[in-house]
Amino acid sequence: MLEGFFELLIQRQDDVLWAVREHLYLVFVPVGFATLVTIPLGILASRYQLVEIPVMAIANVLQTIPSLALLAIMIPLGFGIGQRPAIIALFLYSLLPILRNTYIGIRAVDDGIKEAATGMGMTYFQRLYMVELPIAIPVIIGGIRTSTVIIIGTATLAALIGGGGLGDFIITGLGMVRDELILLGAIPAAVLALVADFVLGKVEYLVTPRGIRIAREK
Amino acid sequence: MLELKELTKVFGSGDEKFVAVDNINLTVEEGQFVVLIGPSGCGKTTTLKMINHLVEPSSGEILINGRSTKDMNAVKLRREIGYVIQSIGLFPHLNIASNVEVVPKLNRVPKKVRRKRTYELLDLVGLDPDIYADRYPAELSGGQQQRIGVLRALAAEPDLILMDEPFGALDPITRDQLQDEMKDLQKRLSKTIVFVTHDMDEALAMADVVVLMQEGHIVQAASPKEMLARPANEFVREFIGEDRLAPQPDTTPVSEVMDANPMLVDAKEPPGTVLKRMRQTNTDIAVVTTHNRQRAVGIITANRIQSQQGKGGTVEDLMYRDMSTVRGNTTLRDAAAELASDTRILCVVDRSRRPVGLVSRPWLLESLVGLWDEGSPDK
Repeated sequence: MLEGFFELLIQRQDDVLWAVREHLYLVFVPVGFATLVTIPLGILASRYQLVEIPVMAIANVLQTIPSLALLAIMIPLGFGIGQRPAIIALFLYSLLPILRNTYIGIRAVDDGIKEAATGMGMTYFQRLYMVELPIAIPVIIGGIRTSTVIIIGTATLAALIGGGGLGDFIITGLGMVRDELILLGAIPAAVLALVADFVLGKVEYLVTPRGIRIAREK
Repeated sequence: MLELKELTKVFGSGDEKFVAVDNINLTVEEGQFVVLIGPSGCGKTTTLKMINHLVEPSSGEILINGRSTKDMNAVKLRREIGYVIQSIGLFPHLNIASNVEVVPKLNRVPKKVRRKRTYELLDLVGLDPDIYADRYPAELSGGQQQRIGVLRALAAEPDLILMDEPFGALDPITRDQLQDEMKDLQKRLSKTIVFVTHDMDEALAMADVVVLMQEGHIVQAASPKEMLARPANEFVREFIGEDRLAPQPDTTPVSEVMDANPMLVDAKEPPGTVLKRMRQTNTDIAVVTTHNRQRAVGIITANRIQSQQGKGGTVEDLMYRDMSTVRGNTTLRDAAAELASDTRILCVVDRSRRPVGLVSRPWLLESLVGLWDEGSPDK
């Protein structure tokens, strides 16, 4: 089976590369937008309970809906088939991890630190920018990392609504009962997930302020 | 320098109303070290936090150098007041120098000037700047961290510093060290400090003025010496604690240190019986009395009985007649003077010479040594 896979890989490398590009598009766009939306929302949620409750509730619901259902429902909702509905669904699916980590990251900053910051004359924004965010960033990146890895996996389902990506191979392979075809989609997807996890893990480490790295080691 | 005028803070409303601070008035002079102390919930921390507007007063005024803080911008106000808290709250992601410089940086002080000041401050508390400036809070001990916390409060050269149980999270030895250092620092830099604690020893050690609060009121505001000598009421006495009140050799009456349950024997008792009782109760001394123990006439010791064994008679025959007596309210000093002569025992009696206690020289000396530990009585 494995030889068949490698043969196919070499034979159809252009298609595979194209699928990988498509797949990456299906990951970066939703996660990118999700990051832009959820970080401010997470900050607001950490400050105002009025924001926190509905926002967290909605994100939770979205995550609980089976990913396949989320993708499929785009069709009756009128978004049609193809890349766009896939991206919308994946966007909704990637919100929670980042939102939750932003919220938790900021809340987890020690109360004593927050009190000291306010007590010595920082405005809310100064405190956020100079103290809370620098400390929370590693956690936020962790959320982005989780989201990315999840979406790389979920994006394989996008093929079902015509979204393209590596899922195409998998689904075609399943239909034609050809293992090499399945692997042609599955293995690159898995590799992608591992690489993303590794790289973002490194990023997480690098954005951790030195003082906090030292504290962790103690 | 700082004036609290009819300051009140109420939390909640209606049935759930809680008056944390009830109409207090306090004046703090420049350069004074004022300690707010009291049981949990007395309002001391709330009062402190109203000074820098972390808590909004419900009514009343706070005047700093004559200006009411009501109309001041809270953020600007806080930058002019130093603030040190129990949990220290150093920013873990910044190095020590950056931590100390936070407020000057907010005030846009140029980096070189900031740095110089930081280095001066580090020297002030004995932390070598070359070593510590680039370290991170996680690398410092609790005591060192809190020293940095204090420096951070001093960096912008405020005239007033607020401290909320700053040494509470430290071990007792470090706490003592920091108390000394803080007091020393305050005197050197002539800062006005308002300090909250629940530890009476800490208050007595550091304060120029101790402000004892209870349920939102100020019960007494006085110097430590004044408060110990003249506690305003029972609550104050209780809060200070009897053993802290004791050290007043000039004024402590003998009745407070005497043995208040001396063994009493009747003058007509046979020595043998008395000796037996003494052995049973492990006593060496008894007051010999007449009139059904209502009148002290002499002292008898176990030694005396044994040395005169076989001579018969009653204890009255054997006792020491020239015993010294004093009244219960005699001061220790005077009592000590009595004991300075040959007398070894003092019998404390009441107006009708009824025995109420015994003081021996060793006992008295012990009490006196304990009392005179902290500072000497004025001669």
